Amino acid sequence: MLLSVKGLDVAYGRAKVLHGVSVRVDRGERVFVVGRNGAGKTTLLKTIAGFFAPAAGTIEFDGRNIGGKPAEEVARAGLRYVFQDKRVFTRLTVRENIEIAAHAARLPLASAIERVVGVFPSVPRFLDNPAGGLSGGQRQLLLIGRALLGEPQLLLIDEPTEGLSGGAVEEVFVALDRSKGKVAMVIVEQNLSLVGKLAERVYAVKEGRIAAELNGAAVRDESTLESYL
Amino acid sequence: MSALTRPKVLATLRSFDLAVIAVLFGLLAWVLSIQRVTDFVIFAIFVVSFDLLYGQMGRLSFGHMLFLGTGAYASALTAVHLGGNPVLALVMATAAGGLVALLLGPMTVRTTGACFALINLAFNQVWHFLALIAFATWTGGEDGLAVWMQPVGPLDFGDKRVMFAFALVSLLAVIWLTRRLTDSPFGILLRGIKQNEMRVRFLGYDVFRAKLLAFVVSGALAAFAGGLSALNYGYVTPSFVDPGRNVEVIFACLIGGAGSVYGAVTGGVVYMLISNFLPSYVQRWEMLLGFALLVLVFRFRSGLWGFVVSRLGPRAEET
Repeated sequence: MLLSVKGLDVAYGRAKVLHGVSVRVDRGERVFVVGRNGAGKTTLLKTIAGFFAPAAGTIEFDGRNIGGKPAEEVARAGLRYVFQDKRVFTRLTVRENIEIAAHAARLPLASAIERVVGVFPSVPRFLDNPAGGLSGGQRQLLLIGRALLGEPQLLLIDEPTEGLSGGAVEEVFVALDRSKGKVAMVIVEQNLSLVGKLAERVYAVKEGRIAAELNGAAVRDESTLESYL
Repeated sequence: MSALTRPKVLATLRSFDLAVIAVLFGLLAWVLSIQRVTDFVIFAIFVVSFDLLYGQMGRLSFGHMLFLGTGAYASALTAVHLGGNPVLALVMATAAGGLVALLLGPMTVRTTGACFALINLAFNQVWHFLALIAFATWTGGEDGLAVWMQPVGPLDFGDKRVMFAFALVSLLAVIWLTRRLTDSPFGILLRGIKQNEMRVRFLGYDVFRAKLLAFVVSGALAAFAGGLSALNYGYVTPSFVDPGRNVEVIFACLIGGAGSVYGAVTGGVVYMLISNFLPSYVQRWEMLLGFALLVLVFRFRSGLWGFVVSRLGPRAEET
């Protein structure tokens, strides 16, 4: 098992957001988290990534306890988080956006660009442009490509297709599908058709608790998934 | 000028930037006076050091005079107690600035925004008090210290032409070094921190170390400028560490354009021209400077250099 979260409680001040959440992710597995807005999906991802310290429970990643560790330490352990808001470093060029991640991953820039091309094929055309000029879909591809540098073992992606047009959703789908088996992923997503196509396992979150764990054919049954939204 | 040739003009200027800057300062010294322009050159180094913090890393400090003063006093005290070797004085000045930044940095760089600005101001205020009163036995208090330097080979700082040449070569070296730094992955990291520190942390960077390093380099460069100032004036007084003078470097940086080494140099020179010549014609010249700053903030948000670049190139220069 790559990631094991057990009995996770998270609170914003006195307001408890997650109640005894337990999830697991195997190596190379693609796990989706679905649920209504405010159910606690993003909080779960951000807590695993080191943004919030858990009030109770454990987070083990690759045999190491990472619960409450700073974000940079979690990232160095081999876990990357792609934020929901698709914010790249807008004032840096696309090349610099790749370079900042390549340097952290100790990769030569040329090799890093080559790897990002695997996810975002048209990236060479934009290298010298400010990243702020990219479309939402292009930004998402850049973020996913950048997160994959340094070969992380686990990618946490928050709502990768939110606000994207149909064509951009398809591009993100292809990018995620290409990484199948190479890297484990935990993806928060509301687009149930995407979940049905890509998920190997699904956790449904309701009011800060795991309401269901779906496997096999159930992950492709949109009416079942919809009942948790 | 056609749209195609504009970026070329900028690229050509950038290729020969050091030579262009040297010639422009040479002309300025010829038109004005060597002593006055030496002051401009040293102030430009100080603005470049400030821009590393503010323009590159996005941390506005209200206490950068602390480092200028540290360098100036370190230089003067070296001259008084360790002989008048100017090279040693400058080495000690730079080292003292770096050391003070290394000591204060762990407290200051953890903060952002107003907190960062004010904590630096607080340290600057304390240092001013120490220089003026508490350590008056060593610093000379309000009277300050006289700085006597011996010539070292061709380096006779009593000769104003030598002082000017040395300061100019120092500025060119600082520009070259800053450009190397800001063009490197470390520079990209600083600009990433400026835009979104949390995102940088999620890439696996220890941002504290990066910010501390930038703070130390900035402090050391400012102290080097302070050391040069002490040599140029031949004395050091508490005005070298006066917290009220922080506004000068902030104005200069904004006038030139934050986030660009060329902007910092432009701002340094323009500010010095204003503060040297405007008082001859206008009694309350600071008021006009305030209005000028308002115009800049509303009309030329990227400063004079940013405006020039926007006219010459398709994309803002951010070295």
